[in-house]
Amino acid sequence: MRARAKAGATRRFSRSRKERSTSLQSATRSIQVPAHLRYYADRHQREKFGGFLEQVEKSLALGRKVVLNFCDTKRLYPCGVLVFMGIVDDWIQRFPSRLSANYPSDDLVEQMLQHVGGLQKLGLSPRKNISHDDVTRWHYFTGMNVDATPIEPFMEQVRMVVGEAAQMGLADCVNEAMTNVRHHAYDNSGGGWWWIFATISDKRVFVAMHDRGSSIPATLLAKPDIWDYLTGRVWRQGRADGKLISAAAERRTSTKLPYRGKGLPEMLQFTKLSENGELAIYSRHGFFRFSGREKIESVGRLTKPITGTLIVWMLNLSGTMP
Amino acid sequence: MTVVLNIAKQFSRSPAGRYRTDGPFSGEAFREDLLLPALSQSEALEVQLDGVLGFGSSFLEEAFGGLVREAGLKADALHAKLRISSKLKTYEQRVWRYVDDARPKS
Repeated sequence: MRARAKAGATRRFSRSRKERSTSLQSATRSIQVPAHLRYYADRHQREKFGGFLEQVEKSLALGRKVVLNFCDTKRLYPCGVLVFMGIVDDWIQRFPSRLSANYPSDDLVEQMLQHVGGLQKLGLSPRKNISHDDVTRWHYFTGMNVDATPIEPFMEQVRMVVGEAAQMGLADCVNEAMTNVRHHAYDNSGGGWWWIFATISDKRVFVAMHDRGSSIPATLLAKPDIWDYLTGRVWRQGRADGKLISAAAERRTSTKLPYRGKGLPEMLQFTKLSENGELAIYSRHGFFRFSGREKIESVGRLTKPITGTLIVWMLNLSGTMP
Repeated sequence: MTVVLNIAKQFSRSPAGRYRTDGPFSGEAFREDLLLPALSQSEALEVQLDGVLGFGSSFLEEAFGGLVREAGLKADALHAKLRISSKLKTYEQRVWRYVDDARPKS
């Protein structure tokens, strides 16, 4: 009798767990997108953005449907849009049919998200006429492997403004960055997706590039002799990833072949040729930054790690020759 | 007779990448499909770089350094037979540096 009662209780308990699990899976959660979608330069906003991404990831992983609520989103920054587009592609692939969004209340935000195809990916039909200069001047590209054909229109525009020599120097670096993604970021397994956001205004060029591969520190750490480069002090201070990115930019290659690993050093060198150029590389837990204006190179630690690598590049190409 | 090979017109305006597996317009594809056949079928070859929107060092190194490292041609023979033509002299210099650096280390 007692045993039957116990079995009944277990069945009831099982049903209730199953029901709970079903209701959890079908529950739709609306998650507020931050007011400023920003990654570069502002630590506070970067952390807020990282927190938002974590929240969405957690809900999707729990089996919930998520609606991204753009109602309070007031400003999009190129680096933020790029990281966002990369992770949206990833979420859609890993959690099919679970991610959607509502239309932003801010006109510029909606135009930009439509311009880069973000709203469409999230199931919303495009409804804006893309007209604002702050949107149309941005070129957005995404691709797989090393194929610079999609970025030709942007490079043509750059060539018209800054001339052939400076434009080719820029294109060399971007092409090489794509090659790096292909060779190092994804370990040749499943291709090498990248996302690029770029613009030129009055000979000032902005290029941001993102990949969601295994990160620069992870790639370098796979090579045993890189350990000689890191000291215990660097580990204790949590700056190892930043130091590793700095090593990659200063030509410590992961392949050890003399003719390989030139991408980031060339990028850094080209940045130094540009007046007040800036280069920032975020990868896993660390970042490396060069500022021509402040004449400094610095490394640091990210509170919330980034998947893969984000390169943010600002150049004044008025007098730059490769 | 000199044969002319124009990368922008005969291959791509945006060559990039090292190996065929990297993408459609890689240094390896250019070397094997265009450069080596043109070299073997001509007494002298002029490769024109103008018109391209950018290369990337992996493309240039694999295409030209690969002639020595992968295809086994002699750097000195290439200096005699191959001419690189570019408005921007830096690219010509880079090509020859890659060829010379690819010589087997004795």
